[in-house]
Amino acid sequence: MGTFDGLALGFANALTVTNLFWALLGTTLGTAIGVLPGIGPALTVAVLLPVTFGLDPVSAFIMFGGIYYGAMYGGSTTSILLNTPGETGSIATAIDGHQMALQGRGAAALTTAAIGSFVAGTLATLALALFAPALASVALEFGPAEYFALAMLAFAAVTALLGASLMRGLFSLFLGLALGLVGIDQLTGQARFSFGIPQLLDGIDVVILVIGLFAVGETLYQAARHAREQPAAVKLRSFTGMSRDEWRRSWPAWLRGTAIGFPLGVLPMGGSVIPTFLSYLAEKRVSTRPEEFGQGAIEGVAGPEAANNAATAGVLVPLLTLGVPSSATAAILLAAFQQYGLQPGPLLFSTRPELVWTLIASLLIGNVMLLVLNLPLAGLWARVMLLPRPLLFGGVLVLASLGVYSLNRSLLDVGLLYAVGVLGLALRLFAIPLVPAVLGLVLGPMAEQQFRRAAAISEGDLSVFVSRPISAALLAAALLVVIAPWVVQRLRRAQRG
Amino acid sequence: MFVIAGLVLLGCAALLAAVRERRTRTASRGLDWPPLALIATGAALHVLLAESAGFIVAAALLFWFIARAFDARHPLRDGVCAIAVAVASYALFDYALQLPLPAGILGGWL
Repeated sequence: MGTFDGLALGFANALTVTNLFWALLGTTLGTAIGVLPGIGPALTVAVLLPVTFGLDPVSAFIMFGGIYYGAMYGGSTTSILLNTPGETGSIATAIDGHQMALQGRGAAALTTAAIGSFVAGTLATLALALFAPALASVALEFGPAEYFALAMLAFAAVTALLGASLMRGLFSLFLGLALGLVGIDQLTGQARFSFGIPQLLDGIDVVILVIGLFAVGETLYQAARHAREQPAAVKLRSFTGMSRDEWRRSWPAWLRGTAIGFPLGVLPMGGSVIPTFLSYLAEKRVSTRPEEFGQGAIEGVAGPEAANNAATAGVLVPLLTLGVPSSATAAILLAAFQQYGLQPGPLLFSTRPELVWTLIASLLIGNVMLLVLNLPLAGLWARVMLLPRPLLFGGVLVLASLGVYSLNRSLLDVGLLYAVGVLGLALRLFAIPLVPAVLGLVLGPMAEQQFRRAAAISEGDLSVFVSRPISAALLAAALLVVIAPWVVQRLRRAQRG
Repeated sequence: MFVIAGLVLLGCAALLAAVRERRTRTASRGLDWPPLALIATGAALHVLLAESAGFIVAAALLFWFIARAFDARHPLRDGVCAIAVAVASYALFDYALQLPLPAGILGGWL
C-alpha cells in the first residue's frame, strides 16, 4: 500500500469519535507528564501497559503515540519557566528558554516552542509516512544476520553516545542483557538464571523492570536527593506571543531543527538528546549574533524544540519497519506491541495496515490537538507544573503498584518492583544511564535468537555476518560508533600536545 | 553458554571500572536517609497488607508514607488525598478496567 492510500485509510479510521477521544486523552496526558519534572513518557507508557491490556490495540497505540508526542511539547514549558527540564529532550531548551523567561519573554519562548514543535512534528510525521513503507520493503530482504547486526548497531550507538562514559553505558547494557536472559531458553528449553524459582522461568516481565527502574527509581532518587525543595517558577505575566522579528528568527530554526532531528531520530541514537544539542550548536554557529546564545536567544529555543519533536517521529521509523527501538519509550512501545501479540517489522505494514496507518494519521491529528492544547492553555500547564510533589509521587507509585499487581495478581511481582526500584536508585546515584539497560532487556532476546538462527542457517559458519554486505556494513557502523569518539579524542590531544 | 560467560565477565569488568572511576571523582553528597526509610516502610506495609486488609487500605498507606517522605507539613491534607486516590484507583481498576483487586476488610461495603 502506498503512502497516499495508507494515509487515506488511516484518516478514515482515525476520524471516529472513539479514536479522536483516545488521541485527545493521550496528548493531554502526554503534555501533563512532559510538564511534570521527573515523570517522562517511558514511565507513563509502562505504567499504562497493564491498564490497557483489555483495550483494542489501535486505541492503545493512538494513546501511546499521543503521550510520546505530547511529552515533547510539555517538556519545553518546564524547561522555560522552571529551568528544570521535564524531559531529557528539553535540556537544551532550558539554556536560552529560561533566560528568556527571566527577561519577561516567557510567552514568546513558549510560543516558538509550541509552534516549532507543531511544524517539526507535522513535517517529520509526513516524512515517516513517506519513508517507512519504502524502508519496510527494503527490510523484507533482511535475514537473521542483518537483524543481529542491526541490534548490535543500536546497542553500540546507545551505549557509546548516551551517558557520562562508555564503561557506564556498557555496564547498563550488560545488566539489561543479563536480565533479559532470565527464564527458559526459547530454542533449547533450558532454564537460565532462574535459580530454581519457578516464577522466574517465564522470565522477568519487562513492564515490572521498566516501572521499577523509572517510576520507583525516580521517586527514591528525588526523595533521597531533594525531597523538601519546592521549585520556584517564573510567573507568566501576559500572553503576548511573538513579535514580527521573533517570527523571522524562529522559522528558519524550526526547519533546521526538523532537518537535524528526523534523520538522527531514524538512526539508532537513543532518542532526542543528541539531536537537540546538535541543533542548539548549529543555531549558534549559523547565527549572526552568537553572543546572544545563553542570554536568551530565541533560536536556541526554536531549533532544539523542533529537533526533539522531529526526532520523536524519526524514532518511530525503525521501530515500525524493523522492530528495532532506539529510545527508552520506543523500547516500551515494542514491549506493548508484543503484549498484543504483534511483531513490528516489515510485515506489520502488510499484515496490519489499518493499525500502522491509523497510528500515523492519529499522530498528525494529535499534533493539531497539541498546538491547541499548548498555545492558549500555556498558563494552565504552568500551574500543573507546580502540583505538590508529595501527591504526585504518591499517586505515581500507587498506580505503579496496582498496575504491576494486576499483571499476574501476584504480590511477589510488587515486591520485585520495589527491589528493581532500589536498583534504579543505585544506577542513578552512579550516573549510569538507564536507556542501554532497557534496550538490552527488550532487544537482547531478539538479537540472541537472530544470532543463533543465522548461525544455524550457515551451519555454524560465523563469517555469514561479514560476508553479507548489509550485515557487514551495519556491524562496521557499530564498531565505528564505539571507536570514533575515542580516536577523535586522541587526535585532539595529539594536536594540542 | 558462551553468551552467559561473556556477559558475566564483561558485566563484572564494567562494574569494577565504573566503581573505580567513581572513586576518583569527588565524593558524592550524602543520601537523605529519612525519606528513603519512610518510602521503604510504606512499600513494606503495602505488600504485607494488600491481601489481608485490601488494596484500598494498602494503597492509601503507601500514598501517605510517600507523601510524608516528600513533605512533613501537611499530614492531614495528604491523608485525605491518600484515601481519595486509593478509592479512585480501586474503582478504576475494579469497575472500569475489570481487573479485580483484593477488597480485604472493606469487602462488605464494596
